[in-house]
Amino acid sequence: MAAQGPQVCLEVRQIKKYFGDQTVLRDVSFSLPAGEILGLIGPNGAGKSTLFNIISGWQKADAGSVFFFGQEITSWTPKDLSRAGLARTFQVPQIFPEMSAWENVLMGAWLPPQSRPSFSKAQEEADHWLSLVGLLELRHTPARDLPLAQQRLVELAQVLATRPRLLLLDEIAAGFSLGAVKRLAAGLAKLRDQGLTLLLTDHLFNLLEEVADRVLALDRGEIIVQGPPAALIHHPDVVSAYLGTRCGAADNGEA
Amino acid sequence: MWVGTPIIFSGLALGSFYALMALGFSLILSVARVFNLAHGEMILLSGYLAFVLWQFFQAPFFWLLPICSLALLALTLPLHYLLRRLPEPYGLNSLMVTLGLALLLQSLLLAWFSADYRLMRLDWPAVAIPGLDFSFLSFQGLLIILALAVTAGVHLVLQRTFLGKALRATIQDREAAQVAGINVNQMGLVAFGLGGLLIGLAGPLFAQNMYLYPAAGTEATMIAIVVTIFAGLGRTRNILLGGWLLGLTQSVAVFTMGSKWRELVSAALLLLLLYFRPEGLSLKKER
Repeated sequence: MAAQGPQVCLEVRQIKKYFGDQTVLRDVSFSLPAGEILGLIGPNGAGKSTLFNIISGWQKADAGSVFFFGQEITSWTPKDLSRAGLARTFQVPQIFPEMSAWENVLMGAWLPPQSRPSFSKAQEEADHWLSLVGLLELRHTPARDLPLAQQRLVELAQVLATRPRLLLLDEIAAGFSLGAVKRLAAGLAKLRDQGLTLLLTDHLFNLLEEVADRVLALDRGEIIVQGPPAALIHHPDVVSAYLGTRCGAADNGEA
Repeated sequence: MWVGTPIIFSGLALGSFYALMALGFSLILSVARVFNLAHGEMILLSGYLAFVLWQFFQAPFFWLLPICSLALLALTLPLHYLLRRLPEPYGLNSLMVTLGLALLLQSLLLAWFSADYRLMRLDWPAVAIPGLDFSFLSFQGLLIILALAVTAGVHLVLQRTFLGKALRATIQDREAAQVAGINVNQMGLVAFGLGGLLIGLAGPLFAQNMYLYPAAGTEATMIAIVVTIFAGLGRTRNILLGGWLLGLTQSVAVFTMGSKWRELVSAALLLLLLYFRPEGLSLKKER
């Protein structure tokens, strides 16, 4: 790895994925410098979640490779990736339904024995992350009783407790109010300033617009365009990918 | 004295024993997802070990409990490693392997000890309740106290400790546990360890409470299954309630209909539970 410039946190090379004879990802390549917030947009079926699953070890790519800080991680398991500092959230949050919000976050601190904090330290950390996502007053509520948006925040706090270096957030802001999106964006920007690298998908662009440094637009398994969010939001290729060509030409400004 | 008092008391004592038998089964099933059909035979093995130590080495009863616990721990840990190597479908394959283990243990016990009925005959003093015309065997009191203490202990470990919370997380959702970086295989090992200690503990109690014979394990396994279904996975306190319910039902059945109905009661309860609570053993996020 070159000493100059920012370190490359994540590098995705020529990822291919087929479901039967359907090509879901065709030669997707990009790199993500450490400390950047990269957004990934695309209409339903563009391959965003599949790409996320491949990077985070939940699905196997048919070809291509993934590197994390220079180390190839293409065939690693989710548990090993989590332990190496690559964490993710899911569209449907993977939480422990019968444990309290606080206990859920606490489980994130169950690290490998050599780096696992003491129980009391882990409890302090859980309080810290829970207050960061604004749920400290709901700490004793069983996770299953929380609305979906708050379950996503519990999951976010939990994966933050795993002390990740790269965090993948899959449509975390879906269903959030505008105010909640702004608060989340401010929180994520603060984490980025502390050195965390983030890869976010967003279906509706509202979170990425607030916080992403750069955005990749994915359509039918290919990166069609990339650039700063403000430039992409009105980009004709992005608009037509979301709305179809005819509609996109007519409603250019509405995407 | 009301005629029901001794029936209820002996039902509670028997139910406490059942809860102690079921705890290990439930832990292993809920954390490691292994439906251990050899559970009863493993309790028997511990029971026979206690019997031998008592008969031939005059070991005092209260020493038997830790010795047998440790002996069964030494059996369940390698069993976990063996089972971990099984291919998918894991649930079905581990079921078949433990069924094989059950038959193997039964044959071994038959070869070593013959089919004779054996019982550890210890003289437990009777305890009389002053003011009430009622007395009970101190062993029955021991069962109730032990069940309360062990259930409370397991419950506290699961609820209050970091390791216990990681075990509960694994019970609730294995995938989410892995996302959080929890090594679910290691949790399985912990469950087999705790389960082994509990199975070992149940052995000397079995030898004291029921007749030891090589085929007796089947009923013990069935009792563990009934109590676990009643309780639901990962619900320690419900195991005690489930054990008491089964013990009381059997106690009433034996008193009213005779002792040959005892085993039938647990079989009938199992069928009833499966009919009314088919989700009893299902896991939250089976995919």
